[in-house]
Amino acid sequence: MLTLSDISYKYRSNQIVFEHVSFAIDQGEIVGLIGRSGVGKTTLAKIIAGYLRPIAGHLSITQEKGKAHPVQLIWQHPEEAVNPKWRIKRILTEVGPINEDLLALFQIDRAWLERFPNQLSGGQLQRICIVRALMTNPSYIIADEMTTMLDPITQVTIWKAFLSYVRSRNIGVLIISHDQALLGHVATRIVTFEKLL
Amino acid sequence: MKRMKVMWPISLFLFIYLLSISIDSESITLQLESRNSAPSIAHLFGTDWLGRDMFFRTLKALQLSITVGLLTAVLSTIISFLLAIIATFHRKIDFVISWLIDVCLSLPHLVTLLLISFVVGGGMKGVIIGLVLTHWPNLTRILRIEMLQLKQSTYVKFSERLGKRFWWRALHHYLPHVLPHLLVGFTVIFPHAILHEAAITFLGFGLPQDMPAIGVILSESMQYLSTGMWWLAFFPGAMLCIIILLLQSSATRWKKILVKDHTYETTTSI
Repeated sequence: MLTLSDISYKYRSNQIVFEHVSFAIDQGEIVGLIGRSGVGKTTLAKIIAGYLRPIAGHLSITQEKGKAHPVQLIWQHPEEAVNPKWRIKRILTEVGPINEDLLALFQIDRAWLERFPNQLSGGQLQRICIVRALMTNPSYIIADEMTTMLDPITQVTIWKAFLSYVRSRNIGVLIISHDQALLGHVATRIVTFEKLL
Repeated sequence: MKRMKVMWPISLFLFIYLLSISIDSESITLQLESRNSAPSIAHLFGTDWLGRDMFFRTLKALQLSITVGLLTAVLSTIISFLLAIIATFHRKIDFVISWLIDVCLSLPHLVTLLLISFVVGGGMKGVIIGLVLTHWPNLTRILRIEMLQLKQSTYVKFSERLGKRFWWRALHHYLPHVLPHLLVGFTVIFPHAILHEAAITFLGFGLPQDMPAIGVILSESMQYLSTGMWWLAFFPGAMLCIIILLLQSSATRWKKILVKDHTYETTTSI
């Protein structure tokens, strides 16, 4: 169970982003999070995954020293999330030994591993990022607009592979998206950000 | 063919350096009967007022100057890298380091160099310490900006979330990224250090007169230039120039390899 209690965040300029956000995700649950643009969804995602420190509140799961964070965030822009000077193989092995099953599941060609990130398309790179996040054996995944920039067919293949893996491993997922149709299909529960405040 | 193009300047540089090391300083003897002779087949660079062969003296002097230059450039580059890395620790440390850079840059270079080398006792040790302590700020300033930017990048933050230790990230994310900067910084510092070493030696605060250094040779030749012995200054100066140009051209070639655009290269499939 991943619980957030009374999480508040403000910028250094003292501008408050949100206050007293509380909610929980259970293992194996797929929760959709919707809300207006700029309301603080991504900021909340960064806080849960340990990228930002909240000014107040408590998180039930935090990172242990020297180990991967149990909550992994998949970013909206994969090209920013990988080191442009590394080959794909090195990007994946930063996490650990390459998981061949995951490569097969996400239809990743072995030849891509020898390439640099700017030699792959957005969809190909996002699949690499998803595989990289899953290779850390996370308990929870936050998918922040994971497939927004992709065409519908690629979106479907990625979501199918992603959901089958997540369900088999009982991983809890928080999906941040504006795509109501998508959330209606995959989410077991939909939360509106404004109602959390 | 491409490899040849990259390798020849550095090979020539190393060849001259090794040649200068192999010269026995005992072989540069006084030959008073052939003193003050202009360049000829027997004495390629001529001889000085004591009859010493200027070709061998210049090469021996280059050995010392290259050693000082390389030592200074390597140490300054390392100092710059470490200071820039430390600046990413915390905003307050960054403030202190930025302030230190500003202070060092606001002082006249040569004066600081003279002071430091004088304070630590002069000689070879004084020159090197002085050079190292005055040549780091420019490169540190560039590296600091790069590192702060890297620290904020998503992939470095992701690496942190993987539980990678700070020095692991420094070695695998930061270092490869700033390697071209380090290389350029190194090649800028190298000639600077040699020229500054020659300058303070010329002014009489650097290396002792009995050591064969380009600065020593040039400052000695000053007294004889007016009598028409142009070769005493011309050849040592030209050799110094050639050495610096060789190192710089090899560094530019290496940099081109490091920042190569891989976008349209065909991958060899496994």
